[in-house]
Amino acid sequence: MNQIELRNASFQYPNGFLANDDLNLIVKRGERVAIVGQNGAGKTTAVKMMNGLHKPCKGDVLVEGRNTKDYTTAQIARQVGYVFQNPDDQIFNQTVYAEIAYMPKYYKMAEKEVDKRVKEVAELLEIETYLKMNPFEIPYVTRKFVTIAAILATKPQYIILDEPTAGQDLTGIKVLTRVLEELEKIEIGVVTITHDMEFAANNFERVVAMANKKIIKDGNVRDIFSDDDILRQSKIKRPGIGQIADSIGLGKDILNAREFVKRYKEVTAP
Amino acid sequence: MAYIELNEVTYTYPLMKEPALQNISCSLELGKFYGVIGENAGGKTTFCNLLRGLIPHFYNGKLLGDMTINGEDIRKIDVDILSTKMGYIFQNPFTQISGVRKTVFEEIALGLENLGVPKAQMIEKVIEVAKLLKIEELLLNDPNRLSGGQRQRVAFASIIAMDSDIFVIDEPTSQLDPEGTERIFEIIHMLKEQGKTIILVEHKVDLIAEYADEVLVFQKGRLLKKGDARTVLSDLELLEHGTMLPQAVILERELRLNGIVLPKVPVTTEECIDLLRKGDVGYESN
Amino acid sequence: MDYDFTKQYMNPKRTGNVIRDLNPMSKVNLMLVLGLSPFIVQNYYYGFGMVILFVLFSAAAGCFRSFFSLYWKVLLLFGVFLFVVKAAFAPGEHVLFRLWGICVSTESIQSGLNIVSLVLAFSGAFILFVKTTPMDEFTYALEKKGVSHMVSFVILSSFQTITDLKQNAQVIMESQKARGIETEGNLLKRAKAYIPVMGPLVLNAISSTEEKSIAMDARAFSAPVAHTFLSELPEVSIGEKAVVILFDLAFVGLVTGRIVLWLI
Repeated sequence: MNQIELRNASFQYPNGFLANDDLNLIVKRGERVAIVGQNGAGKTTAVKMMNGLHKPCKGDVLVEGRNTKDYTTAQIARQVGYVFQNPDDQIFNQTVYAEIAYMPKYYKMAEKEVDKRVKEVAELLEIETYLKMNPFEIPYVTRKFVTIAAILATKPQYIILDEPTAGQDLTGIKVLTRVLEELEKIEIGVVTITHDMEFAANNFERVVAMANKKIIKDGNVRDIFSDDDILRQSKIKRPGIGQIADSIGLGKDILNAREFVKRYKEVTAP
Repeated sequence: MAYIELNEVTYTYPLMKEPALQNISCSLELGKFYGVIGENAGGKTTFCNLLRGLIPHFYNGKLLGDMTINGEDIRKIDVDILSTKMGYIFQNPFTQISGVRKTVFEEIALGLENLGVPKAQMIEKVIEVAKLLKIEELLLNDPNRLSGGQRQRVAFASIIAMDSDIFVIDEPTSQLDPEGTERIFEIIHMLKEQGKTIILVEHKVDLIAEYADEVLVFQKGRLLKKGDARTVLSDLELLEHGTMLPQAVILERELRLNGIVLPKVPVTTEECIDLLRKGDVGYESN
Repeated sequence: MDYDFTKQYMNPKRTGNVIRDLNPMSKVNLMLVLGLSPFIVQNYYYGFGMVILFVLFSAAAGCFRSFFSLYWKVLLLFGVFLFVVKAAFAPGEHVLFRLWGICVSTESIQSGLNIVSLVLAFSGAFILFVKTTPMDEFTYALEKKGVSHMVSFVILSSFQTITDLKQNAQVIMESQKARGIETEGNLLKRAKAYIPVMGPLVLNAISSTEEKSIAMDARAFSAPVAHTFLSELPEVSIGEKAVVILFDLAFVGLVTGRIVLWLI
């Protein structure tokens, strides 16, 4: 049962607005899934169901076999961490160190263990040099890494990232890429909402496309980006290099420069 | 003719030890589109604050060097007048809506009320801008109930209605989805067509490549590069400074490393497709 | 798109309801005079009469529902509470009954009714004013009286800030729950969540205030010219002025009367 499962899950807001309609989705530990789609497609609602912030109005959500309806969000959070898009909605401690140490301490872990974890995650996210600083002295995008570190310090089995690349520069994206690789090694499941198609194409094998409250396709990243119909419905575009490949007739399934060159050579080879 | 001129400008925010900008010298001309890129915390937003006169008039701190806007010393300039000449739009779609008007129509009119525009003219202007930006269907909506993308378009409309000649735009799309981003870029494109001066900070370099005349690259508070968009954006060295380059440039590099040579380095996707279609491609064995 | 709606801006705003269409300044004036008069008259029949009058006014202004939905809470919360306290503890000679230190007398009941009528009359006047006067009309009137543009913006935006804070508090609460901080359950657990929620809320409020002021500056808020108004209110009619002055004179009369009585 090492998985999060949405089983025919629908969600309706108290004002009657239906945001998710009959979702079926399984995310296993150690797996990486990118959820893509236009704003309003229901991506955020779907991930909020995964950690119990929203309880389905129809259907069930099971986290490692436990129904989210029977637990508080905070209880589920120990297994499914969720990093919100805006770090400033989360950070409140005086130093970066205290911010990351907050949850391990909340769970009454031994001082030594807390210290070890803080240093581990800070190193992973390349924010060691900021540990003693006030979080508001460091750039906004770096604060995002602080909130990711703060969640990882609790050692969840799954982590949800909402638009991690928004506003990040190349260096930031490289850090995120490495974080994803490390998390896979230690069997942490990752669910990412993203608008950044290059990021999705380069880092995720599995992509879930959403449109109009529903999952319209859940499958291999290549299948999704080569399906014009899915792209149109979910209002996303294939990665830039894929667009170039498609335009010159190299095929719709190219995701990056390396693949482009390989195909180009094959096609133009005498 | 240079309109904005900076000479050895160094600026440090209050309570900060390190300067946010160091020894910046450059000049900006009217009617050009400047793309501003570079790693995070490299000084891009501070540069915008300087152009808008927010430094030194809103933020204190230490300002060294000389800067003039239209020949006037930035330290002596009347910011109230400056704000009527220079439109400013930034990241957060939520803080840019005044929150004190009941409809989008009235929200857009707010800036015109402040400028003392007569009522009939005001109404005409709001309608004109709404048509131009294709937000007519939003006019009677409550500005506080719009999505981020819609708010950002209303923010643009509110500034454009005020008829500024210069637009300083700081990461307008970082909180928007691809569709919202595209619509903002349509607006920016339109401003360029109208011959407005635009200074745009944006991470999405592919979009910069499409529109900018010149590109400025900031890194660690310094102006690393400034030059025409093609030269700067095809400079592979930037990748080592945490700055992304256009997809077309990345592709060209990969092709070249594999012995496939294009007649020139394309900086936009369109240009790249064009070159490849023409088949004007050389091969090098390596 | 049909732009007919813009015609409404060409004429001063009128709703067609006599009470609503009073100038906000007239409304403030009348609110003060009517709301404070029971303090001068010092008779609870008069005070409760005012209460009934305000309810009738609200009905005439077509806002009975929104007026009363707030007013009955004040009635219940403050009215009953104050009455009980006064009736139970105020001293009096004609004791009706005594029980564990509580002493209810005719005088204490009267003093209870007195204080309740004062509080209800004033809060009624105030709520009626708020419910019949859109805030932007009020600030418009203030600006016309020479109050600075900035002040009126601050008044208006502070109302917006309350809504914004509520929304932001909601997001922060979710965000902290999602990292594992328990916000449901017993008092102790909730108390523990206080700082994680209040911290970001206050910091966000500060930073958004800064951004807002920059954004408003970009909208030429401090442009050195005379402002124009998209929506305007009608000029105050002579009839309206006369009515207000009449009420003011009556009020002055009451005050003078009270002082004279007091001196004798």
